[in-house]
Amino acid sequence: MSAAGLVLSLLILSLIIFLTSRLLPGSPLNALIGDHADMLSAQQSKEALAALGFDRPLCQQYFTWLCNLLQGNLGFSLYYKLAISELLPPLLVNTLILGGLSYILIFALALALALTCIRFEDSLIDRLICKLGSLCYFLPSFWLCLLLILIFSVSLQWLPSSGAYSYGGQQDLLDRAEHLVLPCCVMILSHMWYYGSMLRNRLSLEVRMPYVLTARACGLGPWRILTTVCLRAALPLLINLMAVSAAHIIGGTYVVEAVFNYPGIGNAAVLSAKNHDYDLLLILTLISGSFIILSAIAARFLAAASDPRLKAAAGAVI
Amino acid sequence: MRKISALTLSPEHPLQALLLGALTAAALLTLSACGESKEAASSAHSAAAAKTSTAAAPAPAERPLIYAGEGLTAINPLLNAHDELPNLIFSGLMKYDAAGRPVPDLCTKMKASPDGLAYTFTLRDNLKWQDGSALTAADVVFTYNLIRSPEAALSAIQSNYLDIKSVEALDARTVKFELVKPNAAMPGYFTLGLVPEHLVKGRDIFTMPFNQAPVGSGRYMLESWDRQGGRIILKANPYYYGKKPEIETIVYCTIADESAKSTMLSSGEADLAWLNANYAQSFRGREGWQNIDFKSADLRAISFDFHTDFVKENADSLMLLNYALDKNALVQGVLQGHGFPAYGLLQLNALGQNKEADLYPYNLELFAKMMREAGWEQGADGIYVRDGQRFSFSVQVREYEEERVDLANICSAMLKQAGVEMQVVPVTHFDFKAGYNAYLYGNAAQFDPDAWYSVLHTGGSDNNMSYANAEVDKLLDAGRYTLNENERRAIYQRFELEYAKQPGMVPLVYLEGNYAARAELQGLDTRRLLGHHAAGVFWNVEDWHFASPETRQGE
Amino acid sequence: MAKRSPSQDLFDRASAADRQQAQELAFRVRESERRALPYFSGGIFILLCLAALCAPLLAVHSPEQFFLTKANMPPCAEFFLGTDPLGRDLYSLLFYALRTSLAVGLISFTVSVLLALTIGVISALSPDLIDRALQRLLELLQSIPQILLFMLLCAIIPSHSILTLGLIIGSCSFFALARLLRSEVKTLLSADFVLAARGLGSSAARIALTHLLPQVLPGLSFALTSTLSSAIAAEAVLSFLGLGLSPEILSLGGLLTISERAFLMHSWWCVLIPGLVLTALLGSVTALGSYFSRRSVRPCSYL
Repeated sequence: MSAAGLVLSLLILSLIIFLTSRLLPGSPLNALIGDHADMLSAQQSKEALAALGFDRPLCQQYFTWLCNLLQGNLGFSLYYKLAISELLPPLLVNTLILGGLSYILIFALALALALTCIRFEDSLIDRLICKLGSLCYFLPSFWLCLLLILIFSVSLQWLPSSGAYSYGGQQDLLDRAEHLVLPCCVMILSHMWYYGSMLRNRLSLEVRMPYVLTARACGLGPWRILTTVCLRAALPLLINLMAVSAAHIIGGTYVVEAVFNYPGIGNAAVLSAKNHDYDLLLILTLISGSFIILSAIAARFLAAASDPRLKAAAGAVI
Repeated sequence: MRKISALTLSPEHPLQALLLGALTAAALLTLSACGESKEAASSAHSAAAAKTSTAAAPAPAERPLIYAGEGLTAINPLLNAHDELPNLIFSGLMKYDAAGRPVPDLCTKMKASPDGLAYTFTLRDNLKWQDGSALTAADVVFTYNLIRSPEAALSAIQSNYLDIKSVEALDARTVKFELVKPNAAMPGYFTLGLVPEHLVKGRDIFTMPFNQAPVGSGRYMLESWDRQGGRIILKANPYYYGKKPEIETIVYCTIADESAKSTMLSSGEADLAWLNANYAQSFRGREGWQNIDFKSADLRAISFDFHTDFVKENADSLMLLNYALDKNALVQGVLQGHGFPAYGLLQLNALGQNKEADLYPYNLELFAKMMREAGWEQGADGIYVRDGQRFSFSVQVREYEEERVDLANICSAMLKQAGVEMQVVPVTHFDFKAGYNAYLYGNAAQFDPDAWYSVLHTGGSDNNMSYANAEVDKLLDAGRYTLNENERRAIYQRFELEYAKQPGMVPLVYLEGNYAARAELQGLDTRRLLGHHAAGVFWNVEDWHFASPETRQGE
Repeated sequence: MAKRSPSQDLFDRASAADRQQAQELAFRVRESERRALPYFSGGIFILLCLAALCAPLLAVHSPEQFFLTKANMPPCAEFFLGTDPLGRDLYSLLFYALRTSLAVGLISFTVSVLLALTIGVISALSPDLIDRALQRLLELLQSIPQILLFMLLCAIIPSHSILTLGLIIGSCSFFALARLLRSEVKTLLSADFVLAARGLGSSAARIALTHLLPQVLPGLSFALTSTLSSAIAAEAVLSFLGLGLSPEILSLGGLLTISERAFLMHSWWCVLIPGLVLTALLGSVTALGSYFSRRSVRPCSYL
């Protein structure tokens, strides 16, 4: 997909979301004024909506919004009562920390567990990891959140149950890390084995290749073989998985952030949807959507780059 | 050759997987259950103490009070009278004391003329706003003109101030109010928080940025509002004219979810929270925490919308629903016994408490009889029908208020058994234009019974259900404009009776204000009757302090 | 057939030996695996379906009855699985909740499959431009986090019955299936037997039904069952977030919402049991799906 295609995709995405948001019921006045909005007479409502710019035809509204966006004016969040460009950076940072950390850990752990499973194939460890992993995959993630909060926050009081930082701890790394443990655990547990099992299957085919027998005959240890040669063969799959999993993992952060009240993009999206704050919802959807599209593009490049066999064919692909 | 087992995502032996998982989960939960029991109380205690000691690494005097509060987006005393924060940040000419009587706050004295038509206030010396500028009589004039102006027409409290004919600053420290009629509730309404003229003038009170960065004259000032993290940091006001609060910082956390408040308190992330009866129950007897139960005048009722056709046509039968509702069961089940059944609007008010207004005790046979007398017949599905119209109505409930949702669901079940269909519709916020027949309502008249004026009087500023009853109007007017206390009591007791005869709502229960806090928080005083959403707990916050851990362990 | 570049040829030859070996091994592996019928997963799934269908017969108390004096009771003789914080019998609630969840899951599954079939086949059969445009559109819609799509649609449609929620979930979950279907159909269209059938004069519909569908379905079986399980999971998440069914219509997600309150009052049975039932349901569906996908790899007998 070329740069033009990317821009076109984003435009169409924004149009779809914009139209959907204008179809949603619930007046934006409720987000702005609260319950008093219901006491407004029809005339007052009309005037208030006109002041906010909601009475003009849809095309004009969209065009205005687009122009503002290109100039850097992201709009005003009626729920948070803050300009969106002011509201977003901390939310983005929080979600990037949580999402990025989980992302890396999910794949690192998936790879590590897959390697361990293959090293001890068919043994107790292998079976145990596979069963526990798939069990965690089936558990609803929000239920897992509740379980972990119950055990670690309420009963043992080891870890906090909500938020990204406690009072005064916004810059404190240790405090932030404390708040990240439980959400990351849930993210990892609910996504890891999905990718782990695919890696495990790929590796199990790989260790039955003749070159592994040759390497063993030459005296290389099993871990050495696994981590150098077999891993490289499984790398294209890993990179492909990493790239296509972006959507899945971002979707996962939405629920986890909502349950843990973690101030990130996901939680803000849920709150803005519930409170009819459509401008914010629009921007958040655009951000998530563009991130996912970009990662899909990155996937194609990286897959070609990592596998020498495909590099030659890469010219025909792109 | 080794047996090759290519495992896919599914467990090879799902039975073992599930059993393993169930065992692990059960083991973990038993561990957690043990964590609550008395035997492990000491470990919880030491954990709590450890948390306290690390959290209170500053001395108890510098420890911030972390309050898990409700979600809010604007802090402005002119909008309504229910919120906690305006009482902390703003202050008014008067304030309420422990017994709920108005006493001077910003003023040194209030002089009322004998005929009750004029009030003169003398302000204290050297009053300052929290931004350092001087607070003068001009600000008083500005505030009271603003609340009566058309710009504040949507404020819930405007009709309380419409009897003021004029406000005049006689000099920099003296203000004179002139009323149209002598209003007995007026001294209470002078508790309105004052807003600074130089920051508010010329702006729309609903959308101005001042609402997110308020500047008042009260005990605490707003230092910062972390919108994303949901924390409002309040610091003691250095310019405060009264007793300086011992607790220097209050962190007000805006929590949308009731269960999250309880979780935060349990895990040590919060020091104080207002909880519903169920959650408060889980803290009773727990080492390291305390329960502080306030009496509150907070009433829950099903309030009917007189805009809708169903209600207009069947207003004569609405009060019969009281016969079919077992309110004692509601108190036991939903409130865990912390509350009592409601039949009237002034059961806790000194000027009310008319026991004769309890016209409809729980009695299913009587319900059936009265329904038949009113012309209703039970249809084939068990629901009463009259002239082809089924007794079926919709009630909207805010879904995040668990207690209200529970009350609505249980009432719906009780009414269904009795032959009335009540549909419960959970909403994110009340929508009075969507055509629902009723909503699960809450309000309190903890100070003056005149609080019901704006809600029930025809054309009142808070009368969003269009309730109109000429008899009740007469009594509300009489109660407001009579100055003699005994006469007022008689009037309001008649009001309770008249309202019960032709009500606009079915009262359900009165709540208690169940607060749970860390054991070391001292100073909360339960003498005060709390209002809606248990508001008012901070009435004596300047006396609150944290006990040091040594003192606590010595107890 | 697309023109193959020289580098493509080289790639093919270099990996041909590898791929052949891998396929042989995979075939041997699957041969032993496919014989393992999913007795347990199938059994659990059938049991849960039966329980959901016979809910009125199996439930002891009415799910709407609030035993206010007996709220928060642990499992005992009167209430097999205990009561929830409002005094409802968890055992009876479970059957009705299961029924609702399965109903929503099946409705959304049907909607998803129908939409995927329609759009996938249209895309495969249309000229190149429309095909690519549709694919881009599907890719775009897939890039929006699914839960966000649910929230938007749930907000547009105010009242949620089982049918409307099923429609909402179904219409947001068909994108991946549609793309998969389209690629499968496209590869099959150029297959020899289809050409032969067309040469012999079969109509398009007959080809689709008798030739394409049996070839396509087995490969998609895993995707199909994962659509079903993700539909059930989506309903649970939406009910938990408060955007799904109204609280009178209890589903497993609704029960888990109650569990959030229950654990603060130490009613572990309210937390554990609905979660285990949901996990069992999702797990058995997925296990069945993987069984079908393994089975499909078996080459056809030549008889």
